[in-house]
Amino acid sequence: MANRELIIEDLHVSIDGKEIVKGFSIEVKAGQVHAIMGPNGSGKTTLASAIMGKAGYEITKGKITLDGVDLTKAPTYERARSGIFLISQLPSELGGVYLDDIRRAQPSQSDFRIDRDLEEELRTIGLDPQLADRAINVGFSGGEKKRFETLQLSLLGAKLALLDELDSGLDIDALREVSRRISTMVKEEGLMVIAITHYSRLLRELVPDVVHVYEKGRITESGSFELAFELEKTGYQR
Amino acid sequence: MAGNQLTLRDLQSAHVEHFSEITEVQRSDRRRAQELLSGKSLPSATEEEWRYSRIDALLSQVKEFEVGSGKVASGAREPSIDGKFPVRILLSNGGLWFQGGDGVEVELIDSSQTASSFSIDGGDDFFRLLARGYANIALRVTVKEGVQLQDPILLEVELDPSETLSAPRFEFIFERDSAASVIEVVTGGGDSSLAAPLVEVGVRSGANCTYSYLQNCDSRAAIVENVVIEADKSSSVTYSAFGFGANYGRLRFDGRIVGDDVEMKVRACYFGSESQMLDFRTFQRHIAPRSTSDLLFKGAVGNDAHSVYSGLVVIEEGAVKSDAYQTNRNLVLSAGARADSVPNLDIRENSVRCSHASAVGPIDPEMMFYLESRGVHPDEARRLIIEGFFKEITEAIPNLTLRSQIGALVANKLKGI
Repeated sequence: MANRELIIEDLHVSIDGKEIVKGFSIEVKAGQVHAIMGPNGSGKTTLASAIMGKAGYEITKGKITLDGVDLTKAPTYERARSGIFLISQLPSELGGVYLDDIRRAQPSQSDFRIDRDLEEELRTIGLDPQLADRAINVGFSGGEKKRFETLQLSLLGAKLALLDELDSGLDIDALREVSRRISTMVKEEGLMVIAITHYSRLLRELVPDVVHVYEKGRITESGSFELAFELEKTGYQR
Repeated sequence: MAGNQLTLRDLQSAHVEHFSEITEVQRSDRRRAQELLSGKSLPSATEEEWRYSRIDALLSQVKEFEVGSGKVASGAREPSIDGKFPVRILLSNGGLWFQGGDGVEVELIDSSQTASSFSIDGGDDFFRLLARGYANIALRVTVKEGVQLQDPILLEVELDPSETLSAPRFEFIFERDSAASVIEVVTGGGDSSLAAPLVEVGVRSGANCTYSYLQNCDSRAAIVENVVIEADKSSSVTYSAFGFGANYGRLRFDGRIVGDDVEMKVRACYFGSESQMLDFRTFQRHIAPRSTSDLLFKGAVGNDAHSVYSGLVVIEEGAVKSDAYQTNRNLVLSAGARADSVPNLDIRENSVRCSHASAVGPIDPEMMFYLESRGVHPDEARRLIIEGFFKEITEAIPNLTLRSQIGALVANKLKGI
């Protein structure tokens, strides 16, 4: 855990030949929470998708290493197995596919903590246990989806959580519970977090060590926790 | 007609009355069908109903109409699916073996004094008339009034691989307040045979019918199956079709709601690979009021396979407060594969609720990304999504053995795509 770190150096990402991410760099250490704030259309979701290796998001330059392992060219499933976990803004619904299918698809069953922790996790995250037996995210409310994603984050024992607008679709109570669970993983397991958000609302619950302002494909300013609240008052056009 | 092509005259001359004790009522029933058939031309792909089908090539391959010997097979082999089947019918290479059970009568229709209750005067399908007029084997299964069967009735049809056109006919009558399930499994066939089984199911007042049809023919075979289900007052019907085999596999489903307060559920899952063509044509006819019909067909095609779904919901005048739903969803898994989907409504009454929906497309890349971002290998993710797509239907199969067999057939198809 002590040596855990994510290093992204000068990342450039293009979609259909158009460059969206233009030289993004970050270093996240074990147990750190980094917030990335930026206006609409600044390419925040593209950044998260590219780090996860989504098809169509071409990394044209730069490097992503996790615990010293270069993942720049690794396929998505290998990035996931290395410990990167993405919670999308709108998690997909998977008809006829179950949490247990994900468990069984892991290369080593010990990588998945479902057997010993599922009931405890369900209680902690405030999720109806019956949902764990339903098809993934099908018919779930917005809040249930985010809780269910957080549950998987924990069960898969991720090292790095990419949270893309975690607060969308969550009411205040749900946001608090989900954030608390993630904060616990940060403190107890050294989980690294990159939280992409528009608003400081999330960051009151999930307190960041560093806040980055992300505009037009790169970080333009970094600062402490207070930067988020300053941005809220002044907006991005300062 | 030239060459080997089958003609109606050939059919008529080929038919001999091989059942020694055909009753007058059955003779006249057959004659009526033969008359209607004589006014029809052979099906052809130029007709809308047979568009996309391989019917021309199929009919030109068939050299002989199999009248069947009416012989009795020497004995029953092991059932093709595991389980307890006190009532069982096995048709294999023209030989027939059957046994009835408590509360269930199985009889040869030709020797029955009871006329068919299924009308054929409505300008019906060629192959339905063929079976009604010339069936080599015609069998009736009656579940007696009030009888509730625990174990399913098993109907197994093993098609002959030789150059024949066979049209066996099966009639199922669910008498008042009876409840039973039927599992029909069709296998076998060859590259120059064409089978056209006809299944007619009468579900009387208050009866409950669950019918599952598994088409798992030889990959060279051709089958054109017709099923007609008539549902009477307060009855409930669940019909499920599973299409995996055959080079050309067609199912024509004709669901007729003739009494009030009927609940009819129609399901299908089909999976085509190689150069298979799976062809479905459905009718949900609401003749009586206050009934529900709910159809959901899900299919996948890979390699160079082609599927067709064409469905029509008809709400007749007077069928007020009908609810009818028709949904067809298709996954296209390869560039060379194709799925056509044509749902239709014909509503002649107000105060009804009807909807239709259809979708044809590849696997959703967002679903793939989701699973891959959970560490699932892409091959495995694809498998999970396709199997998951079918689960909405397969998980509702009440018979667990059939459910697992269909799961295995889906898994087997996936290996080759």
